[in-house]
Amino acid sequence: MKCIVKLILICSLFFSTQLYAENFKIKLFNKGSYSNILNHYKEQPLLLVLWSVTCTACLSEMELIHKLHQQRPELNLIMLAVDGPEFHQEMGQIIKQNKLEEIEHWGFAEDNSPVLRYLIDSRWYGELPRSYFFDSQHNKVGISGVLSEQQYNEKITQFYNNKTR
Amino acid sequence: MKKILTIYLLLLVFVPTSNAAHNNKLPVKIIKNTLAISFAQDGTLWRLLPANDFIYIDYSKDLGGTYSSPVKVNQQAQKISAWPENPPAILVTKAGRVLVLYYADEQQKSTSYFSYSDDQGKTFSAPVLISDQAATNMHYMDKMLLDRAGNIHFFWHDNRNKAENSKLAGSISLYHAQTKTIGVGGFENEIIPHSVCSCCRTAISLSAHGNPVLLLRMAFADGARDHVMLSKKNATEWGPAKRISDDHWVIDACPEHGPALAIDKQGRSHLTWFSLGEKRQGIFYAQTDNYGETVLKPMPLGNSEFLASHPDVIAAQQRVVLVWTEFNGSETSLYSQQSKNRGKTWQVVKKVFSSASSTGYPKLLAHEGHIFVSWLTKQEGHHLIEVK
Repeated sequence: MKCIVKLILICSLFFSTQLYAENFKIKLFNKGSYSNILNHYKEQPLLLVLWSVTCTACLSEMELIHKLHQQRPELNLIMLAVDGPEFHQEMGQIIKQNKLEEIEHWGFAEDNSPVLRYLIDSRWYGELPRSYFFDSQHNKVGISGVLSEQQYNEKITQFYNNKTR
Repeated sequence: MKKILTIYLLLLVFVPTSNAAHNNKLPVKIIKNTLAISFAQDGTLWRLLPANDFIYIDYSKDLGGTYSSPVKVNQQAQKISAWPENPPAILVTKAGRVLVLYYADEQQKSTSYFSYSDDQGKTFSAPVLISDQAATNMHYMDKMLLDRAGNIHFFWHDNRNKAENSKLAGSISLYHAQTKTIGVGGFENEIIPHSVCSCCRTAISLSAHGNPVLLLRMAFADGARDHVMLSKKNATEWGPAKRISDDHWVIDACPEHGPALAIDKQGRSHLTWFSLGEKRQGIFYAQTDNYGETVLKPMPLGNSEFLASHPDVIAAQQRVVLVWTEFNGSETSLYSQQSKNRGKTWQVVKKVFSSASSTGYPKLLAHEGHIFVSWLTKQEGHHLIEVK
């Protein structure tokens, strides 16, 4: 019985990170993932960009995200789609089309789950895109909507200098 | 015996108003908790169920207690597209023709197809495209409306005017087509010259005179995304946009949170919407007796601490019913509130149902004076609950 439980745990661990293509992964974002991400980037600034395959405004921002990553490869940039695993193939196509393979990608373990949304931000209604800027102490500010290059750069500079507002 | 009777009465009180014995499980795996539902005049309840490759239809003769075996509308597999803000649509004409509108990704992402059945949903016509630029442009957020003369109206968001739309961030063009004689020629596409928010559905209804009326989130030149009403004046002309909310929500995003509209027989429009504007945040109800010329002060709905969202509204005789959802961190709950005097005064808010799983948007519908709310939860399935 213990062996079976171990096997199930090993399998679930293996499948919790879903390989999409040979050169990038879409990791499954479940209830523990938010705190795991923050722990992983402990005492480091972070930019978390939330998006969806059905969000036309998000798609219009992809080119800028690619540019930001090229200009600032040192930036801890994570993209998290609120779409479930059944949309990972579509997400993968969008990621490839926009040359975003080098960025860390996550996708909701359950499609647009209110619980997962709430864990990130209890005051967020789900509007997209939404960008969270974390300083090194992980004080965060969430901004809804497409941001300009100038807005991104200003916020990133501000948060990398450890100023929350 | 007394004890048994007491237990029985207690059970009656605590069982949801839907029939608990109903099989709420859906017969096919649908996309993103999204379905469409509509009553025919004879009381048959029709559902559209979007699955990965096919769109299915079934019906119930006992108010959702049992459903027929599902039938495919499209015979050739297509990549069906649907999400709660962009559901398919189903309507039944007085003569019993079943009209279906659904989305599929073809050469471009998302365009819509129309099909119909004249044999009570046993067979369907070959699906046809609504957009005359479907091969090159995206087309979604469709709405279908039947007017009293038997015309079928379609309204949709269309990205064919990319250069024009790029002047106003996040905006898109609104198009309209109408037909009375199905199968004779294509659908003549007409632009309605207002820029709408690209990610919010449009609400539609018929005026007291039988003309189409729209409530939509408009993209204003200053970046605000507030709501306007648009009314068709006659067969060819649309009236000016009447701003009904001044929340001043400046955002270039996808709120995916479109408004709802119901117009009663005396011509009072009942409006609900969501906003995170400078002046107002949350969900609201308001009414107008002149299609947006003047609007009564908006009434806040629900508890904004629990993210009150996705309101719907319906009017039947003197009754007006509102529903919305709230999320407390672990459960999504469906709430209702009703007025029995056309929105003059309101009864207390009632919790209808809760679910710990993900949910669709609540949808109100009426038949012969009875008002129902349709709600889909991933765990518990599809419910049709009468609002009494």
